[in-house]
Amino acid sequence: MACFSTSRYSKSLLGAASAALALSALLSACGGGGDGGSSNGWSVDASGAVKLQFAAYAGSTPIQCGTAVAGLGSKSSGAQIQDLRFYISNVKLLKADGSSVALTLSATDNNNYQGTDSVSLITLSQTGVGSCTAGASLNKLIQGTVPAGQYVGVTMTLGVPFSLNHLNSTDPATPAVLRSDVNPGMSWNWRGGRKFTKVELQSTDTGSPMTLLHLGSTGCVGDPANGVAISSCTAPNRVPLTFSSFNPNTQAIALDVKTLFASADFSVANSCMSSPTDAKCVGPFGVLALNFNSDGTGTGQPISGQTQSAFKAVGL
Amino acid sequence: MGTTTLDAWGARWPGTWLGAGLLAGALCAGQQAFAAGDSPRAADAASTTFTATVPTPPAASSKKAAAGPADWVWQLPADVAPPRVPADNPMSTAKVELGRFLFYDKRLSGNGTQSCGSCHFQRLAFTDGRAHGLGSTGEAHPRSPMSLANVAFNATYTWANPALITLERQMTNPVFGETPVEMGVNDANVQQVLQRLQAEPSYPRRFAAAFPEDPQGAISWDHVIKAVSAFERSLLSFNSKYDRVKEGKARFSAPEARGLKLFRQAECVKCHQEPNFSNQFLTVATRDVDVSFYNKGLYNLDGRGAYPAASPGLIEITGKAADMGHYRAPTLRNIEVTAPYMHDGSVATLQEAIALYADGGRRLTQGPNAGEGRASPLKSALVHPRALSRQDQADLLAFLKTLTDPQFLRDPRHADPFQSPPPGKRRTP
Repeated sequence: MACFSTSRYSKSLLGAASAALALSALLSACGGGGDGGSSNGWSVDASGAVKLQFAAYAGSTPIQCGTAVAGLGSKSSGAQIQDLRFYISNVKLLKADGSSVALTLSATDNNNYQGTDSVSLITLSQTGVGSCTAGASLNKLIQGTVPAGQYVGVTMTLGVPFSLNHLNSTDPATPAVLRSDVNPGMSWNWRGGRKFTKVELQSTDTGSPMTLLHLGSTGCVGDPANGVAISSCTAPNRVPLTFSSFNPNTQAIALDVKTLFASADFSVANSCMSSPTDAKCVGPFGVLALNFNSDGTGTGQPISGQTQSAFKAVGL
Repeated sequence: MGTTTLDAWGARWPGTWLGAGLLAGALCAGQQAFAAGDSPRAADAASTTFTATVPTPPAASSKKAAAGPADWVWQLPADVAPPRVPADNPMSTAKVELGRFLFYDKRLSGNGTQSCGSCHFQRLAFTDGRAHGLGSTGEAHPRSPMSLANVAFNATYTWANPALITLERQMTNPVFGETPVEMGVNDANVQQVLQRLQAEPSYPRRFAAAFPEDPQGAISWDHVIKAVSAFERSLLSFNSKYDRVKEGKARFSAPEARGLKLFRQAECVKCHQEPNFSNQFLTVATRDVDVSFYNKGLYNLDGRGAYPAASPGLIEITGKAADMGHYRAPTLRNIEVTAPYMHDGSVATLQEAIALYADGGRRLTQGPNAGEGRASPLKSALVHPRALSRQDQADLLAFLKTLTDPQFLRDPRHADPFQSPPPGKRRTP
């Protein structure tokens, strides 16, 4: 059962009627506050250990490779997951006084990099299960430590920080989580960086058209005069994910593909590769509250006063 | 540049490539205040590839020292400075030779059916004669494979991608690319492909020789890509009739001489600049780096200059409306053998290409791409109708054929080692 904070929920694309229904359901499931925690938040003990869990949802239903997903898009179509991965960076825990504390990742490995900027790859699809063609093994967790104390929420960024995004994908010095020999599908070589999300759904409609979002920085160019591989990007396309009232002991962070692709017609292909002039990107970028105009003038910055609605807190 | 001496290059080397690379971090920190979108923070991690390894300081009087270890010699005309080489991938003969094997090794594709050489034939100046390259899984590429002649000198790579400024980064696209699939290395087979290369008995020895820092000769993607890039940098084509005439070793025929004169008068040379007859020509001596892209008026689908969606040009990277239909001006060296022409192979012959430019662009009267390209508002000002007679165009053609380098097209140092006789024995093309 999903546990949404009421303020976030009201900004979702779901209609008022379904919101009311779902709200009554989660009020009972989550103890009334909708945030899964008391006003004092939750405590981290002396070990400092924190585990953040991630999940894939379609609306209020958990989804996975090999099970049909129903009710998607403008025609309430069915689809199967083909690929579902995304990078999360710079996780911080929030305190009641509004301050934040960076989560120190537990390891640097094929899924995580501890650094001044940290990054983790969340993998919610497995090769060979159902229609899934990508993802070596599931990775639903970000683990790390913070100082012991009381916390109330969590904030992070969907995407790879600039300092890491443009590292050479085949250089052994590049963190494994960002390398082509470890996660080749996440390298976005023609744009000089990484795919922040690789969300690919195969419709069950005739012809099995694909609906996908490859989110990532665009307008990236190198500086051949100075030998700088990528010197700037015009549209960063990183999404702040803030859950001001969130308890990792009782909640997970879910990517809701139904909300992400709410406006897509799954009977045809919907391929958004973040191209600045691609009209197919208007829908998902709107859900992510990223500035986008299909005339190419989008800034790729979070839209002030709006909040993304594709990622949400759900009950464990 | 024609008067620059070798000594001058040697002396300027630390101040150009390496020096600029070291400066990059500091410059980028300053950029933060100006860039509208994304830009580096204090230390630009993306530039470390170029600055991590400090090349051996060059001896002032030798091209050999300017870009790599002791055994690599750039064989270039007197007026051509060496290309820039990333500091972490210096040239060596052992690396170039390993790269040659890998370039022609079909085990390097996901399904083991295709090598780099499957779309880049030496006899066609490393193009494949197709309008659209064909990937290892049968998928057609929106664009035509480009010549690799003198590819070391490009400021940016592929037809229109300023996000790719080195061959190392370019190569990850055909190897790992998904849209379209070219060599088809992916999550499922990325380790398997490396294991497959272990079957080549000479590789441990060749990898160890190419990368002395790893005497075990382990096969890694890093070393595969660096070696192939080094081989590509060795693909130098400066032995055409044009070059021999410049050296005083041959004479142009009357039509060829008229053709060269026309080539310069008609401003072809503005984009296809000597000595490489390309734009974006970058050497260790270059001070003002050209990263221009041009719209040649090939298409105008909507009266506003639109190109077919399959390959809209630079706009695909930058998102800027004005960049629609913009492409790099590729080298005209060996242009005689690289048909069909343009990014999408939509011009079958060199005669047609010349006529198209004489006409100031292209009008397509039928089909899905119909439109008056000559009237495109996005067309380069350099592309406009020119009064070139049939004889003029024939002379231009005669001149362009002097850019063919027969030695390059059959040089055994560039040939497929899995098919060719041992080095030293020249095989006929």
